[in-house]
Amino acid sequence: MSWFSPILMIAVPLFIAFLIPLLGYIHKKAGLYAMSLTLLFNMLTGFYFLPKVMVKPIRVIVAGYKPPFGINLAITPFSIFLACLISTMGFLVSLYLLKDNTTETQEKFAMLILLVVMGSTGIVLTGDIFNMFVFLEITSISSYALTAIKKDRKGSEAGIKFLLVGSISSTLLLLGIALIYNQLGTLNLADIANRFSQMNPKVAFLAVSFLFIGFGIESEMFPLNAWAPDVYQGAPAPVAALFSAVTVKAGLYAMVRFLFTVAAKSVFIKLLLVFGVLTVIVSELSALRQNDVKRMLGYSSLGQIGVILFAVGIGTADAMQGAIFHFVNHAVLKATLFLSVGLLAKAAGGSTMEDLKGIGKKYPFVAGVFGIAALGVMGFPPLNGFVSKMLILMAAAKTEHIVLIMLILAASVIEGVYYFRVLQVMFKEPEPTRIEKKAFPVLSLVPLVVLVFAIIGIGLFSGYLMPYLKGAAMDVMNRSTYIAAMLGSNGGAL
Amino acid sequence: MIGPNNVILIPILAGILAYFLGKVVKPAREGLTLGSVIAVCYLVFRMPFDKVISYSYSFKLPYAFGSLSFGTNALTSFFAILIALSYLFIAFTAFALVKDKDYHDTFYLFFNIVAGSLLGIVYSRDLMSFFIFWEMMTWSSYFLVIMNAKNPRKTGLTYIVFNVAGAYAMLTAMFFVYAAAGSMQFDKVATAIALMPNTKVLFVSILFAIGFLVKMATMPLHVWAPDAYTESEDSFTGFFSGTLSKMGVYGFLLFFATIVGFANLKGISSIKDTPTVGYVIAWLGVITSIFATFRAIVQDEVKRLLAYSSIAQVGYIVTAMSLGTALGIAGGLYHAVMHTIMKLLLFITVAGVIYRTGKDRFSELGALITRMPLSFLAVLFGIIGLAGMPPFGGFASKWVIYMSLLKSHNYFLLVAMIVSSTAAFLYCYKLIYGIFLGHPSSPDLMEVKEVPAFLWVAQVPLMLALMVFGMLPGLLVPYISKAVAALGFNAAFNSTNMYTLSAALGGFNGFTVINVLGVIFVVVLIWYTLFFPKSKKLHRLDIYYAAETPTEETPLHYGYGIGAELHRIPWVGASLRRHITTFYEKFAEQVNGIASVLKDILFNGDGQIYMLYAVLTLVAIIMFLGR
Amino acid sequence: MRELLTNTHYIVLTGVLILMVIGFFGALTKKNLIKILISLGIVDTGVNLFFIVIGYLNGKTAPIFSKPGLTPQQMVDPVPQALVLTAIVIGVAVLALGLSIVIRVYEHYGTLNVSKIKKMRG
Repeated sequence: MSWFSPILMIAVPLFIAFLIPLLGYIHKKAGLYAMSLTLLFNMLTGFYFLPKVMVKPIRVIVAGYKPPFGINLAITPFSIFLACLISTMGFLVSLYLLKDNTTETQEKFAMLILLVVMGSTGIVLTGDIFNMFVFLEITSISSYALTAIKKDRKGSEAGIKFLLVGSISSTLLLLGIALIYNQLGTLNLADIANRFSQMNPKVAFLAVSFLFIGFGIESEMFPLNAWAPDVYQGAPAPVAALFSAVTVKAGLYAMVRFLFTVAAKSVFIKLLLVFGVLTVIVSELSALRQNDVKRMLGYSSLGQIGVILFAVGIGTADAMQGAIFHFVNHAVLKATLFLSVGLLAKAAGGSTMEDLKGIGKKYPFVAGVFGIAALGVMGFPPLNGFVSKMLILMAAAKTEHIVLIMLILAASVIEGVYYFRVLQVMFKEPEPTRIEKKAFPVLSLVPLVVLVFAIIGIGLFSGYLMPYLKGAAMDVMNRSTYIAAMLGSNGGAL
Repeated sequence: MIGPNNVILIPILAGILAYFLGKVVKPAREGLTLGSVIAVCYLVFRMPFDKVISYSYSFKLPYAFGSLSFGTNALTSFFAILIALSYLFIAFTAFALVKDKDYHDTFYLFFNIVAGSLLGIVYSRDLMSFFIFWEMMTWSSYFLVIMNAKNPRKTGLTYIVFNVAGAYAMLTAMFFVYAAAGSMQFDKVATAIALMPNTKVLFVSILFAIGFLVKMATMPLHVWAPDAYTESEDSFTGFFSGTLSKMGVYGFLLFFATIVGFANLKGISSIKDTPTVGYVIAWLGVITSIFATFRAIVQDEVKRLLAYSSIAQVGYIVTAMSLGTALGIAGGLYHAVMHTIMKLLLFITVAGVIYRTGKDRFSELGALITRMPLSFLAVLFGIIGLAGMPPFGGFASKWVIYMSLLKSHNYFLLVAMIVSSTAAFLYCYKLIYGIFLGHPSSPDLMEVKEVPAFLWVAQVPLMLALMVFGMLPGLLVPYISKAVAALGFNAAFNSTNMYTLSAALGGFNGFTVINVLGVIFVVVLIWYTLFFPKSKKLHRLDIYYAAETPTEETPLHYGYGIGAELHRIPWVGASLRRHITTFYEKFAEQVNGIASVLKDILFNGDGQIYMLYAVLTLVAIIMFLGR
Repeated sequence: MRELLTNTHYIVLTGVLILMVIGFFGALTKKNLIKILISLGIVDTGVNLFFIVIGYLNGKTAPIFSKPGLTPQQMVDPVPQALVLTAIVIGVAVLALGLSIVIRVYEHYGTLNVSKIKKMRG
């Protein structure tokens, strides 16, 4: 089965994505089904390779050049774990889209979503920094287009802001890569990591700063995330779900991989700690006074990202484990929230507090799903958000960051205020009479059911995930293992 | 053998099952709850009371935190029994009252989860499981609070903010000790705290105390309580004020007596042979009870009066416990039991009255004694207990608390507490007068029926319990002694039989007291029947005032105004006009203001500024770190 | 590779710096969305030029086997050129998409002033 390699997780979606416009001629819905099937394929491939990679990292060589030359895929526990997460979330969102979408944009939708998922998968799987940049750009460009896909006022405005800031990110990334290439003459991540100390310290610092900001924009770190709330508000709900579950995770992966494995700069890791806490506080405070629930969820998503950045910034293996767990939980929870709000907003004709008044009485199931996910985000036991939050804070306690813990917990109280406010608006206001109750398509509810089971299941059976999390965290923390696996002559080439 | 971990699971699973099965077969909700109640009571009573058993690990699920540990000892069993019995009585109340409400499904879901979490709190043997169940209690009780609230927005948010903030204060302290101990096990944490420097111990104690004081609704952290108690679903309120608040008591004892140890705290700094922290908290408790008592007197809503009364009564418990003496803790535990019984009884009865009349204010009620004699009797028993008068149970517990204050020479605390206890007579009287005596406020009150029969199942045993504990005050002594011993204290009582309660400063024989009072009662009864036989029954409109004849519509129920004059008493009136709520509202306003300004400045909508942020951050990083 | 920098390099590097400063200045001060996009394009050009400079070796030829007998030692580094080609394509894609979104924005707002396109804020 030598043809069956993880590179298919990138190649197949790319191929299908460009095939989709043609498929449109066969059947109107063919593109959407092709998207879902491709993402299902990606998911199954990911889970097929997950246990193998946990044992031994895989190195996929493209076009016959051995590392450090040529483009290669570096598939380590952390990357395959995230690839699985990304493709699973992509698949669930695509199921939701099968019935959700309006007519004329279907093919573009399907194609762009495939490209976003493919790009994000590429970011986490690649072992080449320029390749990572290219995948990041594919993801970003598709994201700009997806944000503005409805051609409405909000989408266009969010799209242009996203594009402007994203351009800065791509410029800085390219500059950073150029500096590194200038010094080391290589683009292979493991090779850069291996020889990073040979760089002129001043140039190295400049390069890391550029890349830090570049990845910071992609991973929605304060103060580089100002575009994000607009995007979450302006983009269609499933797209927002995809952004918070998939693209941000890829951006965070790039940040973590670069700072821990490649550069190993402790100053910048400490900086993440500071920026993480800032992100949490600013985002939660900003979420407090929102009237649009989707925008509020956007801010809340930023807050969770802040928690992840904080955890990453602690810089211990325990904290990393918690952070990676929070990747999963945040993806699951935010996807649930955005998808359920998407359904409710469609029924109510808008996503502001006034629109959603009493909607919980009309659609108890979907609103209940929203409620469970909200409890999960706030970190109430026994749901999944609680477990990862505790792991992160326990790791923070071990490193004596008590003040930061207090700040994050204070922000969590604020989080409680605005989520419970939404729940009260949904369930305690009188039932709206203007909305006619009509059933949601079953296919849109399937992902919600799966996600709710995930929220509760991960919360209760978190132990089953721990070996994978540990493997992924070890992968991040031990850069020498990564370098050896990717550069060594006995590297796990297929 | 079925360990505590399984006991916790029974109500939780029953609740979830009841929700889903109830969608198909409606009575399944009641059925499963009943089954769970019976199972929990059976298992809790079967567990050996004072044997220390620890069960490591939980549910056989692989869990991220390794294992959660559970166990029992005398203190745990003491509270577990309290919870199990309250669960039983409240379940029966709910069977009658929640039957045709539209939140019938969610009530049983959350109610059972709350019961399970309370058991979880007392059975847990490490901080992590303690916190898990504490948080589960918070969110599940939140839904019961807003379920039927008139003003869910304010009540719900205040409740959740205070309780979550309290829980997070506790959590911070937890992490603090975890960092030192490297473990969350109670015993390991205790060892680590013993080695900590004094300032850290104080810090941790204060944070933990905040968490528990919030739950016990001690001033100035009580703000959530009056609204939440008043507006929560009627049949749940008894559980809420009677049992949930006792989790604060349990946590307080657990933490201060076993984990930190009063001796340790005393070593850091002490006032009058009491740890300073404890002394301050004792004063907070007593101040709480004074203020809450006065506030209770002026209330017009029945449940709000009881809510303030509950705050005041728990204040006594706080004061007694925080002295850190064996007698004080024994008094606190004794009063915890009595207060649970009284508040269950009163809230259940009031819930029944509200259910039958649809009215919840004294000004709308009155003269129900003829229509609801059993409920009248229940409230009568309840207020005699609440006022701490012989011959019922409330007397014994108050007496132990007074004794503990005397013995530790805290005379000012004692005086303050007596002031509050005396003032409590007023609201006790208002409670029974406003509902059952005087004139009916409206004619339709004369058509109501006695509370539903399911409530009698709760009322009668609770009344009997009050009477029995009054008659046999020594009955609880062995259990309290064992619980106090489990906290590492020597025996507080020297009673030998169940008729007497005696401790360091003396004792009394409850059996004699009740007999003497019984004899007096009979004598007075006979005297009245012999010498006033000619009293005749009057219609309620057989009165005239200012030459007018009242009609059916004329309001004649004036007695509900008891306490209105309090506003004219100089100091009391001023205190009643001021609310600490204003302070918190101002604070919330400030936070909201900051949030608004912050988001408007930072996220001002200009894409170019967003680009500028990126460039400026880069420049800042290069400038500050590049050197 | 630092030691290989020659005067040619420095002259072009100055050009890179000028391009980038102009670009960033335009992107951060001009209010017209199209001008901002053009400025970002100028920054991109600067970065691309920077890449080329890195790979440029004085006196070497293009990395194409255009004449017989040409050895790799006589060529400049081919990798940056490949990278730049990719970067240019990406830049074009972003620009095209950006302009098409700008058209939508203009339809909705009737202005191209970036400071007036802020219905979503706070």
